[in-house]
Amino acid sequence: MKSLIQRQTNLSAHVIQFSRFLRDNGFDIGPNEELDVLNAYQFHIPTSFQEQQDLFKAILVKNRKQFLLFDELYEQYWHELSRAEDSKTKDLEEQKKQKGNSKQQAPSIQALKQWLYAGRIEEEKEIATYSAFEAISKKDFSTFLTGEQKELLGIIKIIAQRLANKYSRRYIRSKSTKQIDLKNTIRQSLRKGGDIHQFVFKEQQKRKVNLILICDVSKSMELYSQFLIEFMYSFQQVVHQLHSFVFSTRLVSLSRTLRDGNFEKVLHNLSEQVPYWSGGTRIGESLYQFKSKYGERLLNRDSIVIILSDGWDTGDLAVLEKAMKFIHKKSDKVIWLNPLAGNPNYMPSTKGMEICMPYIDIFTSAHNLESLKNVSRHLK
Amino acid sequence: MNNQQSIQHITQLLQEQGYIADDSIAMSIHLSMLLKKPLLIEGPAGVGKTEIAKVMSKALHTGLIRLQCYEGLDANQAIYEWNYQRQLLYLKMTEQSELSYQEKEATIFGDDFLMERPLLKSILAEEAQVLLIDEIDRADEEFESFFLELLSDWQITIPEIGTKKAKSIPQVIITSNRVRELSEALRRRCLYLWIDYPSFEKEIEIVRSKVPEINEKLAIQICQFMKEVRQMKLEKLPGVAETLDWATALSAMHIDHLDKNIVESTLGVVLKDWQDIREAQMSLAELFEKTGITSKMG
Repeated sequence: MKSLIQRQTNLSAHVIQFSRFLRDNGFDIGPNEELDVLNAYQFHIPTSFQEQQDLFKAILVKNRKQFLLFDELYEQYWHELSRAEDSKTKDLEEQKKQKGNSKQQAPSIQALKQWLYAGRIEEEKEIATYSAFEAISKKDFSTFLTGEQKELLGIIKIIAQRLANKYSRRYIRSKSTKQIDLKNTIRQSLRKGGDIHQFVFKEQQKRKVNLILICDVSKSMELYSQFLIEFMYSFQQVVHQLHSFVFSTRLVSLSRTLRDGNFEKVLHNLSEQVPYWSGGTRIGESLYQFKSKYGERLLNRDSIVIILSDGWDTGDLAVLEKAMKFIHKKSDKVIWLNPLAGNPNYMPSTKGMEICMPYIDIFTSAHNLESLKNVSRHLK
Repeated sequence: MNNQQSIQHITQLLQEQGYIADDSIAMSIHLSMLLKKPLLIEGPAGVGKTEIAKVMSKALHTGLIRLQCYEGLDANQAIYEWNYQRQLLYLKMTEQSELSYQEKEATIFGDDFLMERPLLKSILAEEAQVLLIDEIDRADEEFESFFLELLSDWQITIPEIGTKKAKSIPQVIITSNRVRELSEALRRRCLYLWIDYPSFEKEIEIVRSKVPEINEKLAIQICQFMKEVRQMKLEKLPGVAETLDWATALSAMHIDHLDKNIVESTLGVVLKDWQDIREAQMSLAELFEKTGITSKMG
């Protein structure tokens, strides 16, 4: 990235180069924005460095995150630009280093396998850990997703439909004859001289619900691993507007990975993306990471957040509370599915769970198909 | 007028209307006018986002057309609507006339029967107006798409009569409290400005400008107190609007300094959530200590 910054002498080259630098840092800048900067220069030539910075900022920034980041990047750009006259050898060294740190797949795949198959018979475990890469690619899909897969998909479809069953205050035309749309009935009648020959009907528009699924894949959830993976995969297949995350000590987004239609591929990619299956649990830090990185963008009044975790937290509880408070405030509904809640004697008495309870709208168990059916009943 | 002067001119124009703007705000407004691009302003509630549009219309001596957004707002309320009752009446009245169907249709779908709503009104005005689209985040996401044609091509298409091109390009100010994220399509068409809570010095300047009769010591104490309150973990942090309300109220009561009783009895002007008020009441001693206000405790 830094190597892109080379000394340029004219304005348009600077604008293009700086825009590219910002794009590398997550800004969505296209040719229109670059043209706007150049146009602005035609009318207004900045008289100071600060004024130039303000000009670039006013045009190139498009949201709060970028607004807060811009000044730092602007300084960094000019700093790098002055250094760019020196040799490029450092960049080459960096590239070499990056190559040296190339993929170390095996341990992460083993970790996934360990997490998925722990608690089963030893023989299976051996197959799972021995030459893990091979084992997964040869694994029969049907043996992993059991005959219950269709049923699971069916239940998840019902859950998704019930979650999406929210109405906006906006009306749309309807084939159902329940409610007459007087305004459009009159409007249509105008074409026939004002005599009403046919009624137009309306219904409340359904809101697009934005679903967010956050699953705990720590050691304590190992027992429910197969169900969990199947649940996440099926949910992503049924609901296209779904953002999936997993965490143990930190959060990883899996939405893209799970969207793949091939479950084998998904498992393979999962192992590459999440290197710490069966790790410790830091729900607070992970949810806080979700808040900081994705919260502002993903959470709104149409968001339903589903957290699948047993609530055992080894991290800072104050951070957990802060994150839960934010998620609860920003989203429409927080649903916590706790596999332990399937036990009739279970009480949410772990400290982590106690702290989270005031910020949860629906708290229920989910560890097998039967409990999932209950979840869909809760959402009626 | 050179560049620096134009920025200073905007700052001065705003200041004359009682709005204290820093250079980055002035630059955004200046560029928005130069490039004829809408200015999207985001920030916490009560920091003066809407005020910018009001002040601009006064400073530029133009009208202000305001569209207050809310959930369920549709094109009929925002862009245009046909006057159905009048159309119906006209058709009934001309039933016996010899006017042809085409003639009747051309008449009832003409300008006389068109009710201009804020967006259409703003582009059909002979002189450029300031168009304020307030709290756009409260409107449905689909509603944003109505703006796209307007904001990029300055025209509105009405299926019955065709495209209405802008007679003048309005100065568009869009505000959002970030209840939901706005679409990328809308953001790309705008210049962006984030307004945060003001610094202590800027807030004193605002109070002095808006409440000129206020006692100097009281103004400083109020701003110190507000600065500390905003550090607390409250449900709804008070904005500049609350500072000004409080300053105006205390000044009208001829109060020249803050003490515990006054703060306790007027806390409702600053905080609008009962849990926040309770939390602040419990932390009053600490707040007073931090702000250096000598209180008549007890």
